[in-house]
Amino acid sequence: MHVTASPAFVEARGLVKRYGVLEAVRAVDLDIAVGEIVGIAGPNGSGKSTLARLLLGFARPHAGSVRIDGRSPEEFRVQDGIGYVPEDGERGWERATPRQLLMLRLGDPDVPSARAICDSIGATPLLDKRVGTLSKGQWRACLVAYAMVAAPRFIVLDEPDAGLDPAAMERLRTTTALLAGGGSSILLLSHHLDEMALGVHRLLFFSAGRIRRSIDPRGVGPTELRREYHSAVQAA
Amino acid sequence: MKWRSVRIVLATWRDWRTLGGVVIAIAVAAVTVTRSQANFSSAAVFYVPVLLATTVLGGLVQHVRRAAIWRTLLQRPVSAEGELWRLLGGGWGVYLVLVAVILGAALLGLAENAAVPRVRLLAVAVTGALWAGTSGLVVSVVASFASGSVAALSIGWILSPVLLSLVDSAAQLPDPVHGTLTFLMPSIDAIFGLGSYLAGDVPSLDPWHPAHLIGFPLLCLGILAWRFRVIARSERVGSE
Repeated sequence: MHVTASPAFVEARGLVKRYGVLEAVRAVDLDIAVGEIVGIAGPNGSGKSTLARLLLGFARPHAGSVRIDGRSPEEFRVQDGIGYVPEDGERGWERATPRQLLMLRLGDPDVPSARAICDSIGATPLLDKRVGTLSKGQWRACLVAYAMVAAPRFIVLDEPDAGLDPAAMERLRTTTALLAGGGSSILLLSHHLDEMALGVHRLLFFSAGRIRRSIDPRGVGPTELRREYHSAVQAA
Repeated sequence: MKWRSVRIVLATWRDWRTLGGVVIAIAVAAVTVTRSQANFSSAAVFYVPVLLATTVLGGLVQHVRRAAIWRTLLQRPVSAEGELWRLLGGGWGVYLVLVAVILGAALLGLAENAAVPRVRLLAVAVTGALWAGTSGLVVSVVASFASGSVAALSIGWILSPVLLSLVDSAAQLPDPVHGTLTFLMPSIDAIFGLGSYLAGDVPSLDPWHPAHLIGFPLLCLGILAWRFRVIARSERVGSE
């Protein structure tokens, strides 16, 4: 299935990724426009995270290509920077504070634009705590803040809502909309269909390494959304 | 912006107060002991760089290669290879300062030891500096390959010249094989041979020593450049 948006900022064509005999991503074509928020929903192990890493250049495709703003993902990342919240949530920075991480990213985490993102995502009260002392949801909020604070033009959020409470999920939705309004293209991977439907421009159902269906979720009710999802995924 | 990561990674990686306290304690012991026991300086020169290199450089490279650290760093607009070199450079700065504190203390005590001539002091200083560089390079290279057991593998490589001499004494190796193996191994003989020469203990330097003193660091830097290129291009994040 070829899923397009125009004009495309991120262009993936014929992406294939294998792990041994397992084909995790199978001939995926995907375009994401400037300022567009695209959601991907799919079962565990369907290849969503692998697709995300292919788009970011953190994994290499066995076939196909990715262009971001006309450049390879590596060139784009080195020249412009990206935003990425990985799904695993491994910490590694236990001794650091979120403020230090934001300094790493931005130099001065107190600039108004960064403060606006931190306030919006609810990370501001956490900035001076040690990462090792944060809860899973708090750490997730800080990862999202780190990914977004420099307002990169391409952001991939892989299950950023894992561990977030409903209020935090709403803040996440508001913040992604804010960044998309500023021109960032955002790919959001999640299992929360209803939440995603409220905040994305396009919703893709992904299963067994392929995009099975693309819908405009606006105006689609929760029941119909689930029916669409299950029929797309089960058809795989 | 690029160098900011070095400061933040180093500051947040480990509790430097503990390591700093240990280093100061060793430095105090070194200055005290070498005032009366000149031989202690040899032990300090040999073991301190190896232990500190393993702790600081080996640990740092392993830390940076953790997926969570690496993915955070690489969201910024920096090249992966450049970032590896910068972080290693920062680690080297800390490592050399810590080595200098202990070796400087040992040399200070040695300078106050009436039985030690000035020329031996110079020999110990030069040997210590060269050995610190060699140990750091060995550990850096090993850490760029290994995901664990950096200390064991580094010490194994550092001791390999001793193993070679044992093999050589049991079965005479052909000269080309011996020469090649020697150049792949840390330049222990050349460094300590130079120290002995400077101290006047031996009349001349073996002709291969200067070549080995230059060749081994170049070999290590070449391997590091290759390994960093491989790491920078590798897929650092596991599959879903």
